[in-house]
Amino acid sequence: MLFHKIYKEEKRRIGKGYMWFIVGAFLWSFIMTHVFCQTAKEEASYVTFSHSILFPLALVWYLNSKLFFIKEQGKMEYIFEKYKMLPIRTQTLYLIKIRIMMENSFLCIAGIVFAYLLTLGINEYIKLDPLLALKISAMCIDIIVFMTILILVRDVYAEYVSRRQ
Amino acid sequence: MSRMQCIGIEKKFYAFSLKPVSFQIESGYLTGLIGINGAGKSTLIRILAGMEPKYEGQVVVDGMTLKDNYETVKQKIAIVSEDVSFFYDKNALENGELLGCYFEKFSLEEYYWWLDRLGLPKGQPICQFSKGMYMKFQLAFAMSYAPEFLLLDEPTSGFDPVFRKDFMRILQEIRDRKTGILMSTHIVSDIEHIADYVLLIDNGELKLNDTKEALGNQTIQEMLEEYSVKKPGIGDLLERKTVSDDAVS
Repeated sequence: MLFHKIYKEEKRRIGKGYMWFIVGAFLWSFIMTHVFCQTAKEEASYVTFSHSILFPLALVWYLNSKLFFIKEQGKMEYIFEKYKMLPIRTQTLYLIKIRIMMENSFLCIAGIVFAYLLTLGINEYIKLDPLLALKISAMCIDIIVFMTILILVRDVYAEYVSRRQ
Repeated sequence: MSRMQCIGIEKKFYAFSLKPVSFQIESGYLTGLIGINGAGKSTLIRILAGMEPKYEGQVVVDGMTLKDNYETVKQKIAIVSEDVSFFYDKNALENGELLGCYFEKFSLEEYYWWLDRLGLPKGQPICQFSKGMYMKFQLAFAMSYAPEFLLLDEPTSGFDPVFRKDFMRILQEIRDRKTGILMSTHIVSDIEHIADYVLLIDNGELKLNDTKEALGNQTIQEMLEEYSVKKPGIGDLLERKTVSDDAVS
C-alpha cells in the first residue's frame, strides 16, 4: 500500500518531462530507419536500429537526476536527505526509484523497436535481420548494465558526500 | 499510555562513542535531555527518530521495535532538529503537501492551524526562513500528523527570549495533548520549570535518569556542572599559558 503510494507520489513529483525522451526516441527511430531504408542498397542484409540507442541512455541519465537529486539554491543535492524523517526505509525508496527508471527505459526501448518495425513495414523492406531478437536483448542488457553502473557510481558517491556532511 | 523504551542504545564513531543507554519516556510527559555540547544528545535523538541506520540496542514503541517495524513506528515519532532537511526552495505549503502524504494521520487543516499558531508565512520559500522560523516550521509539520512522541533537538537555540517563553507554553500544550516529549538542550533554563523527567548525558554516557522532584533543591544547572566532565576551553588554556609564563619569568 505504502509502496504504491510512494511510487505514485514520486512519479507525480518528477513530472512528465521524461515523456519527451520517449516520444523523441520513437520519432527519431521512425525517421532514421526510414532514411536508412530509402538509402539501403539491394544487397544490404538489414537496416540497423542502433542509431536510437542514445535516447534510452539519455533518459536514464535524466531520470537518475530527477529521482535521486534535487537542485536547491543552485546546487545539486542528494534527495534521500529529505526523506530521512519519513516513515520509509531507504531500501524501499531505492526499489521504487529503480522501478520507475526501468519501466520508462523499457518503454523507450519498446518505442524504438516498434518504430523500427513499423518503418520497415511501411517501406516494404522485408529483409529483417534474423538475429533481431538477439540484438534487441543485447541492447536492453547493455542499457541495464550501463544504468546500474551509472546509478552506483553517481548515487553512492552522493550518499557518501551527504553522510560526510 | 504509549511508551518509548530505549534498551542498550549504543553507537560508535571514530572519535566518539555513545555508551549503552537505557531509559523510557511516556506520552503526556516532558523529558529533558541535558548535557554539554558534544555529549551525545543529538546522536541519541537521531537514533530514536530512526535517522541513524546503524546502532546497537533497541528502540521499542508500544511493544514494536524500530528495526523490525520501521514504517509503523516512524508514524508515531516526530523529530524537530537542525539536521532534518526539507525542500528548501519550496514554501511551507508545498513542503506539507509533498511530504505530509506519507503520514497516515497527516491533516492539512491541522498543518495550516499550526503554521498560523506559530506565525509562519505560508508562501515564503523555507530557505528564506531564519533558524528560529525553521524550527517552528518543523514543529508545525511534526504536529500535523499527531505523533505520540516528539523529539526536539536543541529547538530553542535560534529563538529570541520572547518567543522562547511562548515556545515553552506551546510545549506544555502539546504535552497536555498526551504527546510524549523528549527535548535536548544545553540551555537548562528552558526546561527547568516544565520538565517532568531529567536525563543527563555526558561524554556519551547516561549519568542521571530521574524525576525532577527527585532532584530536590538542586537545580538542573548545578547538577549539569556537577556531573559533566570539564573539557578545557580557550579560557582554561589561556589561564594555563599565563601560569606557565609566570613560572618561567
